[in-house]
Amino acid sequence: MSYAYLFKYIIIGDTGVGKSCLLLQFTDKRFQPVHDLTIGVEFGARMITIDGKQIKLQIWDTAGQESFRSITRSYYRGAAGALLVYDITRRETFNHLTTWLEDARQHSNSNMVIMLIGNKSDLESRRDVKKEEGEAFAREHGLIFMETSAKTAANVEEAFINTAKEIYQKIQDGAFDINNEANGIKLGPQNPSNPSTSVPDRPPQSGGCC
Amino acid sequence: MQESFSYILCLGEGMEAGSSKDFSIECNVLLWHDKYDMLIFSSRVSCNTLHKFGVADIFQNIILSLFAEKNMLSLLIRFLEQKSQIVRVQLLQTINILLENLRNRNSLYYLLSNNHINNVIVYKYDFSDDEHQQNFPLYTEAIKFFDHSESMVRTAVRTLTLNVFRVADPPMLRFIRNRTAIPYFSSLAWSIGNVTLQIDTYRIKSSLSNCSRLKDLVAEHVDHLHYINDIYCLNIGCLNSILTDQLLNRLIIPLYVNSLLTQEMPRDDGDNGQSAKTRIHPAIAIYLLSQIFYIISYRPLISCLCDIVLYGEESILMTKAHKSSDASSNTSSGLMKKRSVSLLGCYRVFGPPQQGLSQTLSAFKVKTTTATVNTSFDGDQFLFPESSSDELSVSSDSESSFSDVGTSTTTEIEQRQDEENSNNQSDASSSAMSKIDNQLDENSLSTLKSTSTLTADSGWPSEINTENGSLIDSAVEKNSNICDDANSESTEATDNLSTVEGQLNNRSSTLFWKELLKYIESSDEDTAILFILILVNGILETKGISPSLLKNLLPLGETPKAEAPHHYELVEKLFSITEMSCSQESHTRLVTFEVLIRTLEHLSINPHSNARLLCENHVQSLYRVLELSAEQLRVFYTVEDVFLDMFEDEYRSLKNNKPIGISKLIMDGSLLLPYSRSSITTIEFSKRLPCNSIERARRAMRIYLMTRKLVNKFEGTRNNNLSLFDIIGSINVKDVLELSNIDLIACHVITSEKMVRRFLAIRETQFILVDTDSTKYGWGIVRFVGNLQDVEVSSERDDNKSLQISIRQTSTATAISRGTLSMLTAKFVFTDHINCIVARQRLKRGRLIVRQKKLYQLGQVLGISFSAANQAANADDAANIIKNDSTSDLQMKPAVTEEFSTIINEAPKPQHELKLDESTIDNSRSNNDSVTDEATVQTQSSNSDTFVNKATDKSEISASNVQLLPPSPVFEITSGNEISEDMSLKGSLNRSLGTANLGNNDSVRLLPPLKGNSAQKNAVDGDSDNNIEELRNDTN
Repeated sequence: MSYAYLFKYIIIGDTGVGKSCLLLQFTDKRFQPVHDLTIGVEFGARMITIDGKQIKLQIWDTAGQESFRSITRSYYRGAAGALLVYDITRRETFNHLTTWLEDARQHSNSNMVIMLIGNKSDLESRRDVKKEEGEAFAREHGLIFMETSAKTAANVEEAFINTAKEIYQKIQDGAFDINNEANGIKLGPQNPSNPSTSVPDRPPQSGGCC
Repeated sequence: MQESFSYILCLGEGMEAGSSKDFSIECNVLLWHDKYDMLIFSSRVSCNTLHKFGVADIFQNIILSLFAEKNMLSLLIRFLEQKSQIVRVQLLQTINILLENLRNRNSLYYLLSNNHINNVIVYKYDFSDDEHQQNFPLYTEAIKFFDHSESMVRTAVRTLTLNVFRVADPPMLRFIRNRTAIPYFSSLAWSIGNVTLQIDTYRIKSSLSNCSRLKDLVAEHVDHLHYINDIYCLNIGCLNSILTDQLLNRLIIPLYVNSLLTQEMPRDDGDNGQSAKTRIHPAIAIYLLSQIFYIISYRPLISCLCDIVLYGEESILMTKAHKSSDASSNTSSGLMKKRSVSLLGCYRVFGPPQQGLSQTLSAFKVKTTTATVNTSFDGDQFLFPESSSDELSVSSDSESSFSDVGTSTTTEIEQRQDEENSNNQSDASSSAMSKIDNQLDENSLSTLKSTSTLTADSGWPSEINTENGSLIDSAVEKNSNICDDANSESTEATDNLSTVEGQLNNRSSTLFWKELLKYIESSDEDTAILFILILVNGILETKGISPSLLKNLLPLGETPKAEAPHHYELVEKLFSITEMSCSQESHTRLVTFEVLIRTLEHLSINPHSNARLLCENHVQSLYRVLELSAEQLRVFYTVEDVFLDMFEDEYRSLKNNKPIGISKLIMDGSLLLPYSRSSITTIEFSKRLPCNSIERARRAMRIYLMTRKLVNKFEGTRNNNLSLFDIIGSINVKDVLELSNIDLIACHVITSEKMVRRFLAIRETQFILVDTDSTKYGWGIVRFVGNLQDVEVSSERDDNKSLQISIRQTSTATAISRGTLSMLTAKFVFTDHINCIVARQRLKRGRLIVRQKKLYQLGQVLGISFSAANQAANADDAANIIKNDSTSDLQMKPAVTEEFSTIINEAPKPQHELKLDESTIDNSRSNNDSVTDEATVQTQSSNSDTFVNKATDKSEISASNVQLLPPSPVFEITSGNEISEDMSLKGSLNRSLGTANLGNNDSVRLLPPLKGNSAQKNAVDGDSDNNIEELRNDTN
């Protein structure tokens, strides 16, 4: 299926905040209450429409990257958007946001759109972090904020789509270098605006590594 | 409920029908193709149903019994054989969900019985031989993607491999080491090399347009190195040694080190023609090598690399072909020669692995028990080549252990391995490595010398590697011969040892080092010099390189040239660059200069012994450089505000900013691009050349300051001849001050947001706004602090009671480059015109005094010759005089700020040259011996915009002089009744003068007493006016 742009997202946050569930809810529209720890990578993709354009969202949910510097570096560097997730029923996941954000800012390209997500909003009775706190944190660090529930699907769509809108806006503003795939944005195969200026003669990828 | 039953039934029927009608799968696909959708849907619904009723086991049981009755699971599994990917995925998912959600024991038994699930597992992973479990699909499948074009996939592979390595399971590690390590790591090396080649290509045709691509490639290289370092950090000895071996022999030596040579080594045959390009631009090679030093922390690799750079010789690059062709000089046996020829081109050539990684890995599927034994034996052999070869040359223990390996049977080796594994989950290799580590410390010089010599001269260890590598590549074929090969090789090896040891003493060869020095000398391009400096810094700063290895580069004390030739030559070269940098035509960028100074700093003081390492010549060079840099800066010296501001900014940023982060620098791909003088590009100033006079001045300042810092460090003294620049005001915001000794002027401060009442005061070099403390009489809280020298005052045209005051922030270089940041911009409304003038005068003079004193001190330090008569009046003396003056003044005006009091008492001297060039200073100083600074200040202030308001000034001044001012209503101290009462007692006249007594004897002086000095001060402005003349006479 053709698309105008492909955006790569990453999902970050403490263990157990529901990263994989958010991904599953968004890409598959279902919720899986019992879920093993993510080993390695989970991956999902979905097509959305913004401004009449087909946009493919590719979401990478990599676990266990925290302990290795090399991973953090390349993981963040290749993404155009990041969902920074905490669990509203566990304060410590909120407290760790600063560390996550520092890491993200340090390694990502400066244009990466970060959305703060307070997940598990369905568990109102066990709420440990006020919505206002999340809002304040987001304001302070210039993030978009939303509370979601991967279980009821509340705001899940919006979270992913709003992030995409922001990225799309940045592309329109010329902030992203769309010819550089390393930024986590790819032009679609049939994109008419695919400029020929994208690096004129790229050496053959002998190792396929670039 | 009913619905789902029907779905299940439907599903079951559909399946039954599908499978019973015709067992041919192809046929099935055709027949049921249009029913796939239905199938998928039904299976989805049925599993959702199961899930939904998961809690209520009764329902579940009903459904499950139906499920079982129809033998659905086997049907489902049969459908796995379908060609359609969609169906397969959905079925696997369904089964997975069933498994995950079933709580009922019976149901689980049902699901797990009959080998159904086993079939699924077998199907998915395609275990052809699950008896021996000699495969680890998760890992082997994953590493096939290590080079995938999608960066996220590559990241995922790295994550997975690292997490797998981290699981300290000896059998698994053995599998990884024996089966996958060499193919994987050699492919990794090849892949990194390709990134490098691309960097090289991009650099040649670099322009701004592909700058981002170049940066990506550099980032990719850095990522790879971080990944390698992460593997090293897991401390798995056997993997580390193989990794080191592969990196050195397949990447670092053949590609990076090889590229350091200006002339390519002649190679004799077409062997190289077929292999990939093996040279990159030397500057890039140096740059990438320094990345290794800064990122990888694995000592054996780093030490070896350091050894090669410092003491390496040509032979290290040689291919086996060379070795064998001039074998006459070599004592190797005939057998060795024969082998060498047969291995032509395998050794130290940057080239692709003989077989693709996936082919190599898929070769594992065909295997026998013998293969296992042999490959594990191969793995064991890897413990010794290359990385542990240095051990062989020095310790007889390990030598014998090596021959043990060679002669022992494969079973023995396996046993030994197992023992070691069980002992401490590390194995032979890691213990060997730790031995090396120890030896590095104890006897590191000879050990490390041997590393390169050995690998370079004999070449046999790597030969074993490649031999074995190819064995592994072709998996099994050769297995019967391996033992013999290894045996013979080890015998040769021991034969060779004597030769190797004989060559150990020959350390004169420093081929690569000489090349580096040659670059420094010949390169008119700053980039190459910068990279070399970074590399040298890398060597000097990397922890874990033993000091004795560095002895020639970093001697323990001042040593004669002959004993530390590296040090002497390098320092010599560095000083010549430093000298050249001190000219305006120089091509040395600031970033290079900074790294240069840092390198010199390392080289002039030994960090361990703290000894000064520079010889007499070099110490002289050091001072000459300081002189040259001062000379360069003198050219730019002016009394303009902008000069001082800039200097101050540079001074502060050098003092406060962290030293340049070289580890960040090496990741900056833009360094590889050609730099220019243009400021249009986004390249920051330090990484390009200055493009206008301001930038040239800034460059001169920075060079001077950095050189000065180096000299100070070398001298080890805190001789601060720019002490005035270090003064930091002692007062901070929120401090509580006793107001009795502070001269205050009441005012309203109006910013765009609000209006507040404050008292303005000047303390030393600071501009302060104070609010009264409502809890403590006579005390005030500091609300704002700014530097007096940054205060800019301008009068309001239509309002003679207010001033526009702004304070710029000059503390950081970024503030300057972004345009000055304003700390405060506000309109100050005073009680009356007198106070307004007083405030303006104080601020202007305060600012000028601070500035003049600093400029004078700087001028002196730079050797700008003020006349001899004034030498006494250097800044310190001036300060003393000011102090004396102010004390003598004290009875008269107890609360006036020190500097201020002096000015006020000085009779102003009209003087119209604003420029503080030598003649001006000379004149003024000869006229009025110690206080010329102030005199100049006076003049300057009277010449500036104060004249604008002169007319209004006059009238007000006369009024104030006869004290006819009406009582001022502006004072309203809000802190309490007592105060206002007190205030009222004091009478209006007093208030109009701006003096109020608060409480007991604590008097808050809101203005200096007008009697003497305010009138006098005003006189300064209007000295042409008769009234004022009179006033001045009076006061004098």
